[in-house]
Amino acid sequence: MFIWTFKDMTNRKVEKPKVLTDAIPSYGWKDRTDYKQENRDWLKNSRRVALRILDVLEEKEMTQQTLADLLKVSRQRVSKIVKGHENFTFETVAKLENALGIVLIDIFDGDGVDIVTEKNILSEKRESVTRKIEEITNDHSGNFPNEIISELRLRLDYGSGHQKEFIAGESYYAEGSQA
Amino acid sequence: MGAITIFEKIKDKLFAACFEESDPLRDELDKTLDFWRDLEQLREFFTHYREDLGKFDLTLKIKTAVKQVSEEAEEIYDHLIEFSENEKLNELFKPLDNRELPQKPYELQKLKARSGKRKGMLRLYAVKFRDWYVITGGAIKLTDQMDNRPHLKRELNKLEITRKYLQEGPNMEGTFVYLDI
Repeated sequence: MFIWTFKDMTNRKVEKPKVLTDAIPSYGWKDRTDYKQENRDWLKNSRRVALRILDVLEEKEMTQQTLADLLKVSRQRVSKIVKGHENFTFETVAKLENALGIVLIDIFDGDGVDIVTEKNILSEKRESVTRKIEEITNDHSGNFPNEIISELRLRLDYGSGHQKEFIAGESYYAEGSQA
Repeated sequence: MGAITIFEKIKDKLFAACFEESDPLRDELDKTLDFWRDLEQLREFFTHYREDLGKFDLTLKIKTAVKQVSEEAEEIYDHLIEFSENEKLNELFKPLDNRELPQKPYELQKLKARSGKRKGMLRLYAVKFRDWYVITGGAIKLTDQMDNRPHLKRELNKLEITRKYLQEGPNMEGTFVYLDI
């Protein structure tokens, strides 16, 4: 009897207070777990696409309503797209690309190089360096020696349709008219 | 309905408070996770707190911060379920006050959980009540202190109100809950 009582005392759980016993059951939030695990890869890409779309809308000062009009869908549909949970079809991606004037998805060229990523990185670096050079060449405060400004102006030639730009300290020569 | 409604999120292990009357009622765990997953709202948040983001991590752009939140949120979500099921929530939730020792928990202690990321910005807040944990909310924390940003101060208020409610029960003095004090 004593041993049973002792076991009973050690096994007895702490009494749950009324505020918790009266709690409303709400277990549905866990249902996402399996779904999330199974679909993790494309959900991650969907978020990336959604973020890119939001960035472009901001850059172009375009509203979601305008995008909806271009896509010929409802505003609510666009709202769902930018939430990052959409499993896009190629058709939808193509329509988004055309409406926004961007490339969202590209195909690997088979050499293991992510062309889109590399294009974006080079493009960002190019823009950043060009902006900095323009800033320096337009600086009349005397902070930069004249010979440096002259040299930079020589290298940054917009007149002939050719553009020499700097990327990470190396010279990069790109042909083609400036857009 | 009283001032606060408590929801049971994982049977007999994890609970969450609900402070506001809405139809349908939504508890603080659901609201927090939904916010952390809403790319649009996150961008708005980081645009509003751009300066704080810069001080938090100079290298973080808004879009990278949004991406980081998404990743951290999923990690916290996974940990919450895993640690609950293994009855190890005491390893996930640490004292809110960094001066308190994790090894010495006490009743109605204010707690926080975070992702394992070294410079993580997400926090989930809870109050320990006997053997159980009641989540009171969550936030993106870009500053050291909590009382100098409205959204963080609100979390402190929610922790305090929940603590009081758990202590005094539904007969807690004052019917109305004011979060934005």
